[in-house]
Amino acid sequence: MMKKSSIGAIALAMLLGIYSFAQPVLNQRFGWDLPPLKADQSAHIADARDNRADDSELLYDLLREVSPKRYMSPEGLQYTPGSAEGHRLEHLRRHTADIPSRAGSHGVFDGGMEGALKTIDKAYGRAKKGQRTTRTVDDNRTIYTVDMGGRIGFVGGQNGKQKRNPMARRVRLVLEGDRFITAFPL
Amino acid sequence: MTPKHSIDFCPICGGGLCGVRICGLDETTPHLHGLIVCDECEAIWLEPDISSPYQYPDSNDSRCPICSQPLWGNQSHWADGEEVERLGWKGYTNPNLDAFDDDEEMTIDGGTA
Repeated sequence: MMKKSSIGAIALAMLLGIYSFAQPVLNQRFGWDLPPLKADQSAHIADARDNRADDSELLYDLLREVSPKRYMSPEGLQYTPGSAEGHRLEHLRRHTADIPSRAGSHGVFDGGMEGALKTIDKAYGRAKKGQRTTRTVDDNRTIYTVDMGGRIGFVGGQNGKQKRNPMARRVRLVLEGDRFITAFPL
Repeated sequence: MTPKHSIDFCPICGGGLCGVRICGLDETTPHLHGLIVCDECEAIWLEPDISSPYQYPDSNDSRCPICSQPLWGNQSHWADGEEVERLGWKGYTNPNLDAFDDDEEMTIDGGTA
C-alpha cells in the first residue's frame, strides 16, 4: 500500500519534470523569465524526499511493511497477522509490560515496543551466527535462547514479583522459519 | 489474553501457560470440544495431558485441529470454570495457574516494582 509521503514524493518529482520541460517553452512563447532547474538539484530533492519517506514509513523505527500488515525487520524477521491478539506485534506488546498476577514468570522487555523489537532483532542476528545461543528445532519451529550479555528487561509475573523483579539478560525466541511467533526475556 | 484455567506451564517454550480452550460455540461446528493451547508458542494438545502428542497450527492460518475453524475465531475462547466442567477437564486444571479477575498489565519503569 502506497503511503501519502510516497505519493507526495512522486507528485513532486512529476511537477519538477513538467516544470523543467515547460520552462523554456513558456519563456520563449510568452517572454517570461522563469528560472531553469538544475538537473542534479531536482534529483537531490526527489531523493531526499524519497529517503525521508522511507524513514517515516518504518514501523517502530525498525520494521518495513513488505505487504499489507506484514513487516520485515533489518535482520529478516517477519511479523505477520496471527495469534490470539490478531497480529504477532500485538502479541509481543504483552511483553512490554508486566502482568503481576500471571502465574509463573512473565518476561518484560525494556524500552516498550521499540526496545523490544531492537533487542529481538539483535538476538536474532546473534542466533543466526550461533553466538551465545542454544537452538532447539521441533517440527517446523525453532526455539532460540540467546544470552545478550547484559540487561534487556526484567522478570515479572508472580515469580518475578516474589524475587523483586530480577533483571533479564536472555531472550527466548520462537520462530517458524523466519516468521516471528513469540519472544520474551528470561 | 491470559488463559482463565491452565493445566501446566508449557514444556516446549517454557514461557507459556497450557490453557484450556473451548471451541464449537456456534453453528459452524457440530459439537463442543476442548483444546489445550500454549498462550505463547501456540502448541496444541487434543487432551489435557502435556505428555501426549502435540502439534503446531499453521502460523499463517491457525486452525482448530478438530473442526478446522479459526483457532482464534469467535466460535472459541479460553474456557471459564463452567466450560472446563462441561468439557470434563476440571480435574486436570491447576488452580494455582488460574488467571485473576483483575489480570491487568502494569508498566514498570526501570524494571522495579
